[in-house]
Order: sequence, then C-alpha cells, then structure tokens
Amino acid sequence: MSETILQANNLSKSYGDFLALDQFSCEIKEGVTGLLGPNGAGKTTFIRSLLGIHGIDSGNVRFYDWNLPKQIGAARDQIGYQPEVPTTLKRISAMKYVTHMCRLAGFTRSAANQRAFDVLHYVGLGEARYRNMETFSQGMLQKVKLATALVHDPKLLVLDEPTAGCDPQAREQILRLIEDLGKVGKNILISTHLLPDIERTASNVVVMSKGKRVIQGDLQQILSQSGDTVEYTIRVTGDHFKFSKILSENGFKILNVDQNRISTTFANGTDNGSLKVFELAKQQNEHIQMISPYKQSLEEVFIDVITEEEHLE
Amino acid sequence: MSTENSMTEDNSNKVESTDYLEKFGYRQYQGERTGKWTRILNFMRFEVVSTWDKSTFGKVILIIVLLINALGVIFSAFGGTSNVPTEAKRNALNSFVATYIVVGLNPVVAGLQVAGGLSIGVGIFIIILFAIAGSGFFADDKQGKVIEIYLSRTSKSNYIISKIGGMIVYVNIFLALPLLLVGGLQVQSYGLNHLQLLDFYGGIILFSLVSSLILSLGILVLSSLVEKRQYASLGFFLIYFLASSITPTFYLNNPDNELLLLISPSILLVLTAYLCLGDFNLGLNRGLFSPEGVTPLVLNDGVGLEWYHIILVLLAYVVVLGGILTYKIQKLTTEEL
Repeated sequence: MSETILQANNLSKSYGDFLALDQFSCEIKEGVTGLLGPNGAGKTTFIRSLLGIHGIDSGNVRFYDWNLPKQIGAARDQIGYQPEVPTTLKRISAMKYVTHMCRLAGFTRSAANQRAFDVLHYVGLGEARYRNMETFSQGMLQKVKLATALVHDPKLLVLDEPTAGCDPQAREQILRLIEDLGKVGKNILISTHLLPDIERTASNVVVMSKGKRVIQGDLQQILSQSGDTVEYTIRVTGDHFKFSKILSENGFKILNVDQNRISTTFANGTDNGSLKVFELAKQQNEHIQMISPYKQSLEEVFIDVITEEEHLE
Repeated sequence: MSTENSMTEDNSNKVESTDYLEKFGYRQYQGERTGKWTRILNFMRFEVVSTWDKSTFGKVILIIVLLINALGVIFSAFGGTSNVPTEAKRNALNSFVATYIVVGLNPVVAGLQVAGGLSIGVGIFIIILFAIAGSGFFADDKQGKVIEIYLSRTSKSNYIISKIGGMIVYVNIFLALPLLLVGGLQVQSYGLNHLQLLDFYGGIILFSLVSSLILSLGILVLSSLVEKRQYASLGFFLIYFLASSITPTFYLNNPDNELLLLISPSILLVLTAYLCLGDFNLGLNRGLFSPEGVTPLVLNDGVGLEWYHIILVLLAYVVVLGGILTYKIQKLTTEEL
C-alpha cells in the first residue's frame, strides 16, 4: 500500500469574483499521479498554491512533515517544478541555467555543477549543454525544464504539461524519462490534457473541475470500475443477435451487438451478472467463448465525470 | 554523435534510443545544502556575471569611462597644484566625486574651485549603461518566463533582494570602483596622504551604495512594469535625463526655495555625495541661471535646504520605489509568470 505524501485540505483561492479553488481536497500518494481537468479547472492554481507562488485564501497542505503554506521555505527544496510555458534566458547555456537553479536550491558550486552535468545527460542534452538556450527546439527546452525540475533531487516532481509542444520523438523520450523516474521511486504529479500520457505513466489520478475534486484514486480501478455498472463484452459460439435478445428478455441492458460480440452492463462489484449469463447460455446450449469487462479509456472516464459534474450543477 | 543529431538522422527508428538512461541513471543527492543568505549571494552573483557577459555595450562603456578618467588624472597631474591649499584640494576631490554621474544642469558646487580639479563628464555614459543593463533584470525574466521557476525555488522577498543586490553590485563596478581608483590617483597626484583621507574613501563607498540603491530601484521598478527591456531602458534614461535637465528651471523661477533643487535626480545625487563626504558648506552657482555668481548653500545652518531634507527625500525614494517593486512582484499576474 503506497503512502500519502501530500494531502490538500479544503484549499480555496479566488481571483476577484472567480473562485479558482473551491474547498479543494485531495491526496497524492507515492508514485506517479495524474492531475486532470478541463481548462480553468484550477490545476495550475493548485500547483502554484502548493509552491507558494500564489497565496491561498484558506485551507492547508500537508507535504510529508511540512505544513504548507507556513513551512513552504523548507518544503521548496523538495519540490521540483516544470511549468507549462517554455522558459529560457537569453545568452545563457543550458549548463549555466541548470547549475544556477540547482544553487538556488542550496547546492554548493561543485555539487551543482556535477548535478547539472549528470541531469542534462540524463535527459538527453549532454552534447547540447553548452549551447545557448535560445537556439534550442521546443522539445529541447522541455528537457531543460525537466532537468531544472530534477537537478536538486526533490521528493516530488510537479510537471505541468511536460510534453506540450514536443514532436512525437521528443514526446516519447520525455514519457520514457517519466516512466524511468517512476521506476526509481520518484514521486511525480503530472498535470496534462494529454490523457494517453497519464494512462501510460500514472498509477493514480485526481480529476478536478471548477476548482473542486471530482474523482481521485487508483487509475486501474477507476478505469475498470467507474460508475454503478460495469460494461462487459460477451462472445458466444452461436448467433450473437439471438443470444442478445435472450439477455435482454432477462433484464440485461444491451449496449451494442454485432456478429462478433455483445456489449452489456452488469451491476458493479458483484459476480451475479456473469453467473446469470452462464446460466442462460447453458439453457440455450450456447458456449461462452469470452466474457470480460470492457476497459474504458481514461478519456471516456474523464468525459463522463466532467459531464456528470456539470449536470449536477 | 549527439542525441539530438541521432534523433534526426535515424528516421527508420521512430522511437529514439534511450541508452543514456542506462548510462546516466538518476542519482540521489545526499550532500549538505547551503543557507538562505548564501543562496541570495549566489543569485546576486549570477545576475552580475550574466549581465556582464551579455552586455558588450557595458564593456565598451567601462573602457570609455576608464579612458576618460585616465585622461582626467593625467591632465590633473600636470595641472600644477603644489601651491593650492589642502582644503581646496579636498574640495576638488569632493567635487570630482559629486559630479561623477551628473547629467544635465548642476548648479551645486564645492566651496572653492581649484586649478587642475577633475570634472569628468562621464555621467551620461554611466546612466545609459545602467539603463541598458538594469532594464533586463526583471524584463528578461518576464520575457523568458522564468519568474515562475524562480519563485518555485525561492521566496518573492529573496527574489527581490537578489535582484536589487545584483543590480547594486553591477552598478558599483562602474561607480565605486572607478571612483576609488581615480580618487586614489587624484589624491596621489595632489601629494596628499591617503591615510589622512580615509573619510574621503569612506564617503565614496557610502555615496556609491546610496546612489546605486536609488538608481537600482528606479531602473528595476521600470523593468518590472514593462514587458520589453528596451522600453525600461528608454523610460529610465528619459526620466532621469529630462528630470535632471528641466527641473533646475523650477529653482530658477523661484530662487528663494532651495528645496526645489531636490526635484532633480541628478542634483539630489550631487547633494547626497557632498553629504556622504561630510561637506556641508557648498555653493550655488547661480551663474548658470543669473548673473549673481556662486552664493553659499550651507546644509547645516537651519536655513533653507538642510541635510535632513536630503535624507528624507532619499528615504522617500527608497520607500516609494521599493514599495512599488515589492507590490509588483507580489501581485504578478498569471500572464506575467
């Protein structure tokens, strides 16, 4: 069971009349967590509040043993942040820039140089490290940002749209880096609109909408068990249309049927649905070839929960 | 072969090799971390070094300033000052320091004029240099979108302190260092004892610190308010130059009110210099404005302009400019981050 490293409690933040965070609470566990939400959901406000860049109106955050925002000074050294926007300083090499950022986190000159050297190699910029950053491509700038976030060895990496603006190859490289960092035990919070990135790299998700938490938890559980019912795919040896009619007559809701499969729903958390299907198949002398829960994509879950949230309001 | 190059050359392999992951695996850091003030000093050092590295113009200006100063010292050395009283020599030294960064009209003079006294017109170059260099301190961060990263590493107050400190150090490369160097050479050429003029050197350091603080705050405020550094440079230069050139006419129109002299930033810095050098007995060269010539301007006689008026105005500058700067950084908008 992974431990909670960060707990946000009832965070509120408004800009004039606009409530960006509305009593927002969430738990971030060890590992890689995806932070999802539509534009204006409050993701960046939450991240900036976490880092002390924006003050908050009320609430607090527990990050390891630090109580934020009161103890943000000490906690900053343990958070590495990669903002969404491309960042660069004119006529400064990547090496100088990353070393400088490392020294701001309290490293000595020699330690910062060594770390910057290592981490720029790690992100794949070893050969380009002495080039001025204004000559870098978008993908290279993303890697510099990742190196900057990593260089001071933080306990938590906060990555805001880490693959934004990258070509497919650079995106693949960055995702591999994130996966690799996850494997070596680095805790990562990724905020992105690219849901496949989250599906690929994250083990937990927090979904926000209108400054509130909509859903949070283990990604695999959310993908397979969202809602009151679970969608199943059934394949039989005989006629799928005929068997779907029998299922329908016995109270099953048929979502879709074609020559190869039937899609239906079972009540979530019980095996009664599948047992009933087997019974009906036996009565009809049909053989069940396959019966398996349909795995939703994160995008479908995301759209469902956001739509549901909007309907509630 | 570089990773970037191999990425473009090996088109057949859509997914770039991540061999570097194995070669340079992520390593944890177990070492010590430095404290708050060491970090601030490192930040200041980075600002100074990167501004110096980036500014070819700054290097050219420094050479010009040193050349003009060297010519002044040579001229002064051959000026024949052996018969000039020590007090007059000291007045000349004070005048040299006080007028070093003067731009525009300056009616304030030391009590006596002396043959061979330095009066170097490098102020315009130095102000242009400050305007160009200082304008990038915040504007470049805003344009490069790095403020957010900085504020994820350090507090807003430390960020502001580092920027102001960096600017003060940078300004003093062009202010305190030449003043001490040329002032020392001037003392030597006058045949005076350096050890008996420690108050003069102390005055130079104090004046450099005070004036660099005021100038730094001025340029940093403009840099924080605009998006592009060029606007901040131009704005600072125009404000300083025009205010220094035009405002003495307010005094001309109302010569009984000496306090009007404080409106001019250039004259304020001249008066600050004399104050720092402990020279309270000055003169107003009304010849600039009227045929009356030099009239006394005593800063501790309880009449008209007094030393504490100067300190109050300096404090007001620090409070107002520092307040604007702090407010601006505290209230940075999402777009500015």
